[in-house]
Amino acid sequence: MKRYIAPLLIALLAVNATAQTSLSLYHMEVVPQSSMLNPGRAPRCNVFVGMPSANISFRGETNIKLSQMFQKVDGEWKFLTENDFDYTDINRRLKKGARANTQMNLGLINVGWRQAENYWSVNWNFRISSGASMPKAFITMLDKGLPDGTRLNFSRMRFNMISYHELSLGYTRALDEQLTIGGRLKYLSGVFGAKTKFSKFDVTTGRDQWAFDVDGEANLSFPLKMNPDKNGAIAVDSIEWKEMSALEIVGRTLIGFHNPGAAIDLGAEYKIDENFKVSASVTDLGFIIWSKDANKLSAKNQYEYNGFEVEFNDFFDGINLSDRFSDVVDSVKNAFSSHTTTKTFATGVHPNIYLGGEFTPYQFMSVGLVSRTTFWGNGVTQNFNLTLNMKPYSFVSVMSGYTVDIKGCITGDFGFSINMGPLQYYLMLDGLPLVQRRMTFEGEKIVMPYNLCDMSVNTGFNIIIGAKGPKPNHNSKY
Amino acid sequence: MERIRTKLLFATCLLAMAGCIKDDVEIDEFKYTRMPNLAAPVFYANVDYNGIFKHLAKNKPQNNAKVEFDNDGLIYLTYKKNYEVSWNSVADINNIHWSVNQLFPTVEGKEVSHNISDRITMNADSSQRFDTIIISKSTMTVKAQKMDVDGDGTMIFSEMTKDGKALEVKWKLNEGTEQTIDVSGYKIVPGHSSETSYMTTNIVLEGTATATSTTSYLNIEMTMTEIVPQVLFGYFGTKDALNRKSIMDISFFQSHEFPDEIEFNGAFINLDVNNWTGTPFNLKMDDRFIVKSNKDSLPVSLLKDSALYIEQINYTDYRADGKYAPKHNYFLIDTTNSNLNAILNCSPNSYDYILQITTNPHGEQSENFLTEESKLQADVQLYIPFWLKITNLTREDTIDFDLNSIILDADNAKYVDAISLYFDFDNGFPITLWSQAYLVDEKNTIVDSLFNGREQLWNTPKLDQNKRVSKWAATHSQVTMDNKKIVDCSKKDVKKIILHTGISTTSAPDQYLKFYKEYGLTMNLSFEVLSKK
Repeated sequence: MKRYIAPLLIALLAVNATAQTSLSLYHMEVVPQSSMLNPGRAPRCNVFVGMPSANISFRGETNIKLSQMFQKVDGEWKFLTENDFDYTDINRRLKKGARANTQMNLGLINVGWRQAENYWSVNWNFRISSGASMPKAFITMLDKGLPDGTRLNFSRMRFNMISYHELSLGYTRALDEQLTIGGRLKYLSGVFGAKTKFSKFDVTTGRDQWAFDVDGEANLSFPLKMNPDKNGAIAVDSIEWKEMSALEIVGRTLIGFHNPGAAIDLGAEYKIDENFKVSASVTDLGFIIWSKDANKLSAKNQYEYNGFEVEFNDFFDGINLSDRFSDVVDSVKNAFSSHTTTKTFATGVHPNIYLGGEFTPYQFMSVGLVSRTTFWGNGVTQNFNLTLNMKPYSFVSVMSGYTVDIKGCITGDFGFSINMGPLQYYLMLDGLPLVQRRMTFEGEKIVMPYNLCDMSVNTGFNIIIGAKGPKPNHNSKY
Repeated sequence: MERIRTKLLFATCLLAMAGCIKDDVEIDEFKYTRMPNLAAPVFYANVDYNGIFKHLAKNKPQNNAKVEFDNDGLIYLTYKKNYEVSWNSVADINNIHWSVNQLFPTVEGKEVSHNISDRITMNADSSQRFDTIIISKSTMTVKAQKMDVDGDGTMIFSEMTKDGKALEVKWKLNEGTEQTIDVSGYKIVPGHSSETSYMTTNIVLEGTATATSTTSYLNIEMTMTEIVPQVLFGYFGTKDALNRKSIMDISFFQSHEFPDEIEFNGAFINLDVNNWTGTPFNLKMDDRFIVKSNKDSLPVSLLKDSALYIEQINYTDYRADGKYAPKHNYFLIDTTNSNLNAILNCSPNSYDYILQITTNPHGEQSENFLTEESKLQADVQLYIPFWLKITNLTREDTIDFDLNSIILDADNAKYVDAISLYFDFDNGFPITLWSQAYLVDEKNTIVDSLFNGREQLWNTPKLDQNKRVSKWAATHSQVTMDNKKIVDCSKKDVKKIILHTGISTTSAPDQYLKFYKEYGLTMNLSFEVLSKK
């Protein structure tokens, strides 16, 4: 039973946990977590305490558009696995292949306080980032099949995952009436990490030969037990989880500090005049060095399939195709068998660059524009966000807006915060699909989002002391 | 101001909920119906001398059969059986057992003095006589039950000596004994009476009776087990050291599918015997070929009434290493002294024989001897050399080919442009092969064929003046099922391919096929499916 605890825990954390990921949170300065996106912007409060383990955020990103998976051909809807489906649109969008990334953050301890012109914050977060890339070759294979003379490159196939604790100390200071700067130093402690890389993964198919040429590696920091065969080769299905006691699991996931790392957030805000502000920040600029249970699995193999080898006897005895197919499958599996070495490795932590501008015509309303560039392990995404932030009453703030990615995927954003005395609840939803598709699948009616490109959720509870409401503005014409 | 705030708040919320529902997508079920564009090799084969050798060897009737080729391209099917007669099948001296159970009078406190003498028989077979045995390995076990006598017991084997001293076993009478004695190296010179070779044992009991009973019970057992003689002299009688019936299954020539005509060329049976014993032997064989179809028994029986005599080795003829060279004899049954060729042409299923090996066939002429390494080995070898002749040998195979299952759905047939099969052969055998493949439905009704008539897949290679292949012949065949044929076959629900093939030694139709080491054949089959966009 214990052997299943570690993977179960990882799976649970992967589902439930997350850094602050909502782009529209950037200008919601009444929510203290907004300062996580730019340490140069202090939140509008004197003291805040995040409810332990009650602040979570999630961001999921992919370049696959759901709407492109269905097409109407001659009045009939077709899925991409069906014969008449035209891959032109998908090929245009997924030039380098498909990609999916997630980031999750669970705020364990979040505290911030203002001291004169200074704002300090201390945070302990548990974070998970993962990313996977499916090379274009998969789509080509689905579209074109494997005719004579096909050469497919799967080397862009990737899988990366890191989970880590983040202990940080943040500091924000107004240098003068116009410029505020801030930074956050982070100590990182990796829990589990994995990254894969293929320098070569070519598959050539033809009438005379199929050939596989694989040169890749996987770096893992997981409690795994490798079971090499007599030649030292490790088949993927021979790898097992190490048996761990409950104490070891807790030690490894919660309190152990095995894989050290560091990161930094830097930010600044400049007030051009009473109504205009611009700001910029860089977050999660850092790395983790993985040494605990670190294994490097290397596979460098070639395999050529020239057909089943038939012996003279087989012409008389018959050929057992299933046995022969199994032999071929075994040979292909052997091409992916790897050798392991214990090797420390490093991973980055997916930095973001934010550029923002805010126009505040009234104390209770502002219009914000934010640009976010995220450097995933498998690509870069660029989003722009336009929000309308309203604070109609001292206890409530509402945000609404649009996010557009560089590929033209437009989604909606919505968020609000409510203060009930010192208790604040907030919910921010980014990347909401503006158009839904009603689908009838095997008689069941379901509603699916038309686009689901970059979606994030932030929610949680805070204790706020000294929240500043809208200041009276005597110059207002209203 | 308040009105504006409220309106803006509503506008903000409305903005957030500005989504709409578009397109009613209806998918009956998720299915994979992408038509394949696929090209792949199916199989390849390199048939060479060894491939045919392995095939014939695999189809040989028994594990003790071998297939070989000679330099003249002749195929040899060779059967071989070995028989071994070891020393203990010649002389029966493996275990010796002797015991005594006796009551004799005793008086408490009085002296006891009791002697027993007896003969221990050593030859289990009364026709055998043992003159001298030097024991290489054996153990003697002596068990004596305790008695109510305070004194000693002694068991003396006067014919069993080592360094001139007889073997004595001693024990305390009131304790009894169970002793195991290593008797390796002891020499026994048995005495002889009618039909018995024996050694004597003398038992001496001396002491004082301790019980009030008026009798004492004496119980002694002696066994010598697993006696291995370093050397055993004597006469081992006339007896069958081996009498065994054996069958060599040669139904290969009936069951084999490859040749349709066989010419046997110089079959022979060889009996090869080596004798490492100091005993002469006679070997007799009652042998016959059996034809199962008509239950014919075709006797050879050249050694049924007469016999092959194998001399004994002489004790003093050992070599420098202490070992003996065997006395050898052999007997050859071939076409000169038998009708073997005629028998083989009757297509026998088996060669059945009884092998009988008899010791001292002429009675006692000289003293026999055995050592622990003594043995007699007899090999029976049946050689059947032959050539093959193949004259349009046809064969029919059925291959499952469910076309509609391959293209996933009959409706998809219209999308498949072509299915092509590519056959590449390089033929280095003086054999030609044609083929025709019929596409048939479930009831084996022919829907279409792959080739237009018989397709010559193996062309005739170039032969030299000796009809030996000098240059291999390459053939490249392509069969394409076009869209029209695929649609038609799909409609008619083709399920199977019936493949007709025929091979002939057409290079030399009047000659038998010979196999040479340089002969071979390579073949490749690949396919390509092309679908419409």
